[in-house]
Amino acid sequence: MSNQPFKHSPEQCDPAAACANYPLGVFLALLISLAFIPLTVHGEGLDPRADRPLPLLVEARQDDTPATLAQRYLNESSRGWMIVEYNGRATFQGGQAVMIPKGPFRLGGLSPKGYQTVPVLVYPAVGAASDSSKRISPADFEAQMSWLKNSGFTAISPAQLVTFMTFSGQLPRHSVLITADTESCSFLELAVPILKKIGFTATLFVVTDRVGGPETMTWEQLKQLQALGFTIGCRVRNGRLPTLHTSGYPAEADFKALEAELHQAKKTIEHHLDIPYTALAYPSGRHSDLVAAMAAKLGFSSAFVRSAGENPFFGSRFGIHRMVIDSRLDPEQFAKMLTPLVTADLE
Amino acid sequence: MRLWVSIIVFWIIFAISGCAGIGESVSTFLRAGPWWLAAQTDGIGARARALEARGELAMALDHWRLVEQIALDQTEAQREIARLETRIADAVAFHYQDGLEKIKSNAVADARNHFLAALRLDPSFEPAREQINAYFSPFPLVTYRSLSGDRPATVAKNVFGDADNAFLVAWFNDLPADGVIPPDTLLLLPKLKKVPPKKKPKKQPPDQLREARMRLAADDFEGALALVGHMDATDPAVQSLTHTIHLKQAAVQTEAGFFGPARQSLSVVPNGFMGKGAVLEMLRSAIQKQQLALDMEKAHLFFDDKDYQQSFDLAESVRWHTPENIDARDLSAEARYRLALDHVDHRQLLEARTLLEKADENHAASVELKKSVSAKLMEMAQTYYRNGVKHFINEDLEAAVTDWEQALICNPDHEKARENIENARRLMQKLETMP
Repeated sequence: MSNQPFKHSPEQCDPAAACANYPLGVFLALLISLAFIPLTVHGEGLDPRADRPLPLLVEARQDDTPATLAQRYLNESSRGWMIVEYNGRATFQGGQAVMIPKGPFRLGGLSPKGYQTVPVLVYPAVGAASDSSKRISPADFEAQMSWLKNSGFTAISPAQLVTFMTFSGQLPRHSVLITADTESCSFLELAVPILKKIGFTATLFVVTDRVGGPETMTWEQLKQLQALGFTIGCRVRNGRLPTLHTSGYPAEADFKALEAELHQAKKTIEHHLDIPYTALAYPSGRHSDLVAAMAAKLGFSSAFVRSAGENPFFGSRFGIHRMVIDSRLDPEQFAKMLTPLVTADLE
Repeated sequence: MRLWVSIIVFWIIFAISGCAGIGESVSTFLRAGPWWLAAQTDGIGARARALEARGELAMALDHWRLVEQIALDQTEAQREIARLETRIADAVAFHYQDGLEKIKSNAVADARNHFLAALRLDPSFEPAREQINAYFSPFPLVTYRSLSGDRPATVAKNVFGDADNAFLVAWFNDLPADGVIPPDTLLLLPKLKKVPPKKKPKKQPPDQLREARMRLAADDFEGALALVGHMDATDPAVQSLTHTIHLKQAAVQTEAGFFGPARQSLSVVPNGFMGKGAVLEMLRSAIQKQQLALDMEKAHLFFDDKDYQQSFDLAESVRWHTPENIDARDLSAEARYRLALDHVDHRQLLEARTLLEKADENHAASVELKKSVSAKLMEMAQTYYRNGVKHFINEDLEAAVTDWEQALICNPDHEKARENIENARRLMQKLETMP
């Protein structure tokens, strides 16, 4: 382990001052160095034969963590997991060589043992216990979130999931997308504080016509959640699709009604939240090929159903599976559902 | 001179550093230390071998490429890179070919794993990606290249088997519904499954009922009804499920405000079937709610049109059905006030007073108007009273009684007028009985 300050604190090394004090000596030393070593000394450049940038080789400072390294070299502390996965270790000592991946190195979560799948959870409601089996109590919700955190899961956004599914981005091996089909104030009051405490964010799919109604959140509150890193999607305008043909062809009038429903929902949410709206949850969790095609044409990048299933990178972005989490689920079943790897021989 | 040479050398080194990708600053260059970096080659090489042993060939290759960049002697790294590149290329080709073979032999899962293995080794290997997309990655849109003379209707006929679906072709491609499409235009079309003709089974398997129930639970009424439609209609279990589907469909339609379809759904459920009464009540209540909402809209329209009487009557009617309706309460109070004001303007103070008797105490303007009307009526009562006294003095008893009665109408608490009427009537009786 080295404690030399010039290695750990590059900001303290002022080349200008060095030049002023020992001009000729410093530059001669540099010239000699260049003569004996390759030009690209720490692998930051793009190898012309490689199709991705080589990792950066750096020396860890005292007390460095994956997060501090990620902040310093990847400009984002939340990408510390990339450093952990690339180096195969979670802790680093001062002076130790660390490789910083400059881009995705395991696209699609493919490994020799299988492929990654992203569990997506949907909470119909969080609130005080009642006779409704759909509603999960805040205590159970907190226990589930804590379990996810302690098991090493990272909560991701629909946008990150889309990057993963388009084979252009990589996710932490233990990724989970937490969603809720509600616009109720009880989610804001009961679930959001728990998520903030754990350090997770979630995606809320709201029915736009219900926002601002009795006991529901306002657009201002949704905007505040968005500022906290939450994603706001929607379950169309009134929570129902006019027709849901599971396979056949619709009448033109039904088709127009369907289009109006999707289009209006998109327009409303973009008007209130000032962002392009790209995530859709099919009302009642069901969809048809036609609705999925329409969603793709209207500019949605992902659409979610309510049914258990895998979400590998090659799954359908317009039929992303979500597992319904309600009060009937015990902790053992919950843990069993959260499998991030599908075993397959990909040697 | 020495200083100038130093400055020039400094900028040359700085430029070379930037071009070489050293990047952020010379300070980074100094910190990393080329000798420190070169000293890491053994460790990185060892890790590359470990990764290779675990099958992580692409990552192992990255490690060797890094070693090649930083090592003083690059021979070993170059040898390993060449070896690994060959190994990866061979493995990718092997997996891809095997994947194609498996597809031919219909071993779909094996084929998928081979294509995924090829992609794992070389993520930029497009042929494997294309196979994955084609066979395992459902996307709701497909492409179609138009032929000469194609119109939305002909494309719909070719792709969907039905020219009536021309509107789908037009909408998905922003085309006019009946225009000619230039040949060789790439069209985007929804990927719709062709429904095979359904065969009515002679005897439904027992799990069809379960399937229908599952569809019902998922609110897929059309699907559930289609399933039960193919079952034995005389079976009590099928009958009961059919009624339950119609009942639930009616409830959902009622919630969505589709009262006509809801009524139709309910009409096929026999009276007395469990739950029908509740849904019927729900429908009635929803219709009434909608009717009251429409009445309120009309009441507002009348008000805007200054027809305060109609507005008042409608708002009062809504209040009668829903006393908690704040909109109706407020509109009724305002219309009542405007009506009373009209009466005052037309000197119909008694009508105004009658209206204002039941005015909302929270409606400040009404309360003020009520006071003003009351004061004016008191004044009029007093005038009538005095006129009555004048007639009495002039011995015109009938005219006196008429005026005092008017005074009483204007002010029912005018005791003197009441007494005088009684006295005058007694006097008139006496006069009549005198010979």
